[in-house]
Amino acid sequence: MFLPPTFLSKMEKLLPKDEIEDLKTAIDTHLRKSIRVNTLRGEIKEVKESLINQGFTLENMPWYKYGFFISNDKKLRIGNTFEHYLGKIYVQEASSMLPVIALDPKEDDFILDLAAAPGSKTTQLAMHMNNTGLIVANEPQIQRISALQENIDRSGCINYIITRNDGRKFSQFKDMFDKVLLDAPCSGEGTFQKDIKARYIWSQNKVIQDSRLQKQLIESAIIACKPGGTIIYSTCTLSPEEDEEIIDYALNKYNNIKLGKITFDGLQTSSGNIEYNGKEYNKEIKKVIKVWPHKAKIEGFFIAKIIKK
Amino acid sequence: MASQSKDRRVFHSQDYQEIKEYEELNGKQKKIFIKYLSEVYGIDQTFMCEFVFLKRGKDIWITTKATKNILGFSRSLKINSIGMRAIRNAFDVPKITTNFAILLNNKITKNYYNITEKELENYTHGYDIDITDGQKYKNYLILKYNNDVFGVGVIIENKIKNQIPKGRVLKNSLTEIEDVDDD
Repeated sequence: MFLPPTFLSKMEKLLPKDEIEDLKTAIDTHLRKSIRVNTLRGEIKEVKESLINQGFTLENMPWYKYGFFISNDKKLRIGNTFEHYLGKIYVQEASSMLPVIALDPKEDDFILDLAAAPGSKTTQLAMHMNNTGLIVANEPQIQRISALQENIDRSGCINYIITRNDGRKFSQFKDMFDKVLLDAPCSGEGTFQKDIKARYIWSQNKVIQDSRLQKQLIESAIIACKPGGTIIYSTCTLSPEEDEEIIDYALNKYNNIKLGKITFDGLQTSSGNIEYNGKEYNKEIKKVIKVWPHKAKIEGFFIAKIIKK
Repeated sequence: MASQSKDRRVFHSQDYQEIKEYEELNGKQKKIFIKYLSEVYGIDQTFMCEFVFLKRGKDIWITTKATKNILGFSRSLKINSIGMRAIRNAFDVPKITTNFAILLNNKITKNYYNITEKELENYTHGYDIDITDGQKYKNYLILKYNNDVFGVGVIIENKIKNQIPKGRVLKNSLTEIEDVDDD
């Protein structure tokens, strides 16, 4: 198994020695496939029964009633079922469902999804909002828009606008949105488990570049959110430069924000690191959540909940 | 010969103006549109009043009332789309989209065809369906199996021509394609 040496030496600074082997083993283990039942299109009970009848085994995620780990002995493809065709299910990684759960969208909310493609979280937001209110689903990369549009349409969502802007532009819309989701573009260390190519593309330079952009995007998110509103910052990566450091930067720059607590029943998560590589971060950062693949048995992830005062 | 005809259009083509930006249907246009959906597909008119309808080009889009609040500020953004495309070509030969038909599902009480299990297999894999009573149906026909709308077809003589968007067509068997939604 190849893992970038620089990545491993970084992880050695974050985890106790005995956990490094566990992390390596977890990254090399087959990732459990998961789906979300889309209640805009189907009922949990009906979808579950139908998939079981077709030979699938479903295991409910303890922290999310709409999320299921799915498997089968016959190598059936969930993407080729009528449930998928009709948008009753969405193939979505378990970790990828967490930011929306933490954001807690409600009917009639006005939500900004700053980096929306390919749409797993946008469609999850729409489902929780019961197709009411409005989501501004922004995606700056034109080549990713068609996948976003297709996924949103197949999921039966109508409460959205797709915009094609640099996410930094949203700093022009001060105090506009009830909630903001920033699932930031990142170096994707959390995806090493399923995407071997990502291990070869990864570099510390990319981490630093992403970190710079993430700081600018989080500023946009904070400015665009209404006072009293919530911002979720998440990445599918584990490097503190893209995670804790971004939140530390925001806490130092804006005195009108604080961090909120996040919990997921039955999911083993860790709190954020308040020290890394000689840097000391704001103590509030203990409230953010890190999902380690060897502990949680799902993809690596980072989530912070920011409340604008 | 196709059974749909220009007299079934939603709006008169002389009312068509090139619209590059989204624009909400005015009261009169909304009434005509809701009446069209009621007459052709049996959609309850009060149900449709809950939504906002926009036009861009010759197409009609459906979205939520909350969209109205931001149509002003959104001018400074590059908009790709607003809501779901409901009808294509509303000023000529209107075509209900697969996504809108699936969204409406059991609200559709007219102009639908119940397909058999075998026909469903063929249809979702991109094939046409042979029928014997094509003259009974108007315009674009809704295809239902059990309680679900699976899509739209157009009657050409005694054939329902498949209208499923290419990306949505199922592959040959349950085991042949990768699962791809996620990021």
